[in-house]
Amino acid sequence: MTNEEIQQIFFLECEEALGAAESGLAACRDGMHDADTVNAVFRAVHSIKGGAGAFGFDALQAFTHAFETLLSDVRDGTLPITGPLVDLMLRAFDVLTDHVTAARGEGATPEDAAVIAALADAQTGQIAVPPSTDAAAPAATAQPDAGDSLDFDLDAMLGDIEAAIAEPTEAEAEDSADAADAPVNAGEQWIVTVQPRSGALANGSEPVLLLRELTLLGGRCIAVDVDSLPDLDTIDPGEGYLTWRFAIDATVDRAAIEEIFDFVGDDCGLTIDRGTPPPAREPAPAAETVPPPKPVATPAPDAVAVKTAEPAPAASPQSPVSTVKEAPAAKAAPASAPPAMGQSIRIDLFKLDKLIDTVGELVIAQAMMAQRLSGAGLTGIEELTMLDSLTRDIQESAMAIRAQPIGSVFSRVPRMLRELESTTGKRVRLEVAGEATELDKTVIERLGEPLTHLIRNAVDHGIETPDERVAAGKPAEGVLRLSAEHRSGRIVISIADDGKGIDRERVRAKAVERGLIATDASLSDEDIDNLIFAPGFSTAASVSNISGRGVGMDVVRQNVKELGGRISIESTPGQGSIFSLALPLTLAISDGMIVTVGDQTLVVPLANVVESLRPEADDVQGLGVGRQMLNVRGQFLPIVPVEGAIGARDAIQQATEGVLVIVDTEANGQAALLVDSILDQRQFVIKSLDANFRAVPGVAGATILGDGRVALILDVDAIVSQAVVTAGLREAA
Amino acid sequence: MMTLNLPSRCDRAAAEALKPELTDGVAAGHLVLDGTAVAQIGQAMLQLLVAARRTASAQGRRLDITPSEAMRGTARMTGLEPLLFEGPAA
Repeated sequence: MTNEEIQQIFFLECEEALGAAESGLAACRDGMHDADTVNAVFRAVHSIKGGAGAFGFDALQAFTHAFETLLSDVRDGTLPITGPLVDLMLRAFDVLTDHVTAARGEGATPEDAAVIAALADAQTGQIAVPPSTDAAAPAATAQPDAGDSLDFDLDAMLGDIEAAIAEPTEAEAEDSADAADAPVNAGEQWIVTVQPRSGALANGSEPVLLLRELTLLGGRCIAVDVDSLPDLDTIDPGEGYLTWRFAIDATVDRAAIEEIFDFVGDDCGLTIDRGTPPPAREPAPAAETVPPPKPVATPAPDAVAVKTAEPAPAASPQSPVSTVKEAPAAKAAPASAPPAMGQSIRIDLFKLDKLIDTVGELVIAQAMMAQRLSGAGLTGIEELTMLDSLTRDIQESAMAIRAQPIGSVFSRVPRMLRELESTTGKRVRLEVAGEATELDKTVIERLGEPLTHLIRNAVDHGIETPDERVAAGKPAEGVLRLSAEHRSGRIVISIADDGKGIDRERVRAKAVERGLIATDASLSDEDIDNLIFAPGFSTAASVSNISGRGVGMDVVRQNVKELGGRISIESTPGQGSIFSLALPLTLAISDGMIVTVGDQTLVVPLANVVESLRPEADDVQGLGVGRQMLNVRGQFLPIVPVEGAIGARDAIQQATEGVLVIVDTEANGQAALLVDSILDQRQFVIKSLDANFRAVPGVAGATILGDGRVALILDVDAIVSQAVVTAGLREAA
Repeated sequence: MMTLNLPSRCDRAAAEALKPELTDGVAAGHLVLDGTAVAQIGQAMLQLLVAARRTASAQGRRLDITPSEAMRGTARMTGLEPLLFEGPAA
């Protein structure tokens, strides 16, 4: 494995660790935490620190060390979990996330001096929301100490124990200075019980070296239990029969002790308890007079980074210090909190896309074959039915693979909300439902932007300030509810807030001011609500950094439309608003009507289609020059000949001789598309025109029909808009 | 009196190799283990030696170990010094 590949694994594990830490902190914030929760957060941060050290990400390492030190105290119960403490930890978590991003080279290293100072202060009991500027000795020494003691760890991990032995007295001194913050009673000790089990002596690992590490921290052996030792005849040299008890001064950081056993996992029984030890028999010398066993040098980055999924590479048996087993520590923490998940593997996206593509081609080829066979008069072929059903199964499985839970999009929201809270001064609680709802990767990727804008909008314009809310009889904290569910073949995502709702008077006034509607136009509530999607519309009195530039909502609607979806609003003044997005489950495959227009065969996406009909002469009325209207149950819709829009030839001109497909559009309401005939209605695989050719107005993509011909997919909205504009211009002229 | 030499690196492999010789040696009578060449010693060997000493003692035989500095140091650190070196066979 190259160093690059190992680093990639490290970053993937960082993502998991950050996820685990965030859930743990969220639980703390909601008051639903226990010892395991905090331990999970600690272990997550700790595991990031380990890898950071190995790869030389100094800034990340220094920050995680500071964060970890605070978490250690929280976990021990030395620091009570209060609201301000949780807020501080969340701030630290955000900075940690930025550090990881910077380490990947995807962002600037964050300014963390203030947060580090706040973390140090918190340990001495001073938690201020704006970090106090008198970051005195604790903070000042924390940084250099963090660096030095981490260097010590690094050397040890790199197998250069000789160098480490040269510095034990320095390290010990710094450890005690470092941990001076932790309130401790004089004479109190950690009692560390170490019981190597059968795996502990396997693969060249050596428990005695772990004990030596304890000694270097100032520990000494107070007892060794040899009772389990059998006779010489029956003893198995590979088994562990000894249990040791070591005492270490409690000024030593518990984390430092645990760190020694990082790679041992289940192979070694380990307990660390507080206690006062029996009087020592023989204090072990602080510095050994003899160099300890020197391990055969092994590049430790392999050992450190490849911590969880990969089995130990063959090289590592030479490294006695680190047993590269499945470190249950890092895994156990996430396992204790979230429910057990099924097994999963990581896949190269490129391979997956290629698979999906090929499945798409398979579907087309199968349709082509079916067409040819039926064209040759061979119908009712059993093998074909089998093939048909298998192809459909493969297609479904392939689409399911690409489907991802929407939770991945929702997971970015908490941080967004924290930032919004701090910039607007409002308090918002997030409720999420349906995170497991799955949708296609392609949709998820493009969902982020509109979702972000809607959330910003809800906080900025919807939810009131705490004072306003209390005055209105609401709880000071606003609620933002995100939910996703499958409904009749689509996915419906809603963003609901319990704020003040849409101020329809202001919206209407603004629309009149912008010339979007006539002063005396009569509009339903729904119409007024939809005005906010008009380009350039914004009722924000001031343009804030978040929203108000008037480019937001119309872009959102455009994005949603491009995804093949719809957006709608429900709003009650004083109570709140709900924005609902209805999106197709996938962008890759869709349902449509196959129609003929002159010499062309085209596809009309079913998402737009309301109904189709052949009109009677009475239903069609002329209006002005070259425009016709269709009377559908009292409503008049413009008839749009598709021929003109796409340049087909010899199409049917009379609506009464062709078929009118009534479609719904975002911008122009309903219209009736005039086509020659409808051939079929079925699923088709969407091939992007952009990717293979270039964007063509009026055309949303292409597909390959059963007979192998290419059929263009109509962009219904564009065609109707074009026709309406043209008609308008013609009238004006 | 029989003497067995302990290798410079007393790891698990060395313990496994030594065990049959140790068993024979203890059975044969007064056994001396020359550990003056030992540079590193681990749990496998340490516990083997403790077991050997105990078995010898139970059979009324002697087992003496002459340690190197390194060996003594590790024995001291792991609390096994008395069990390995004190008394005829602890």
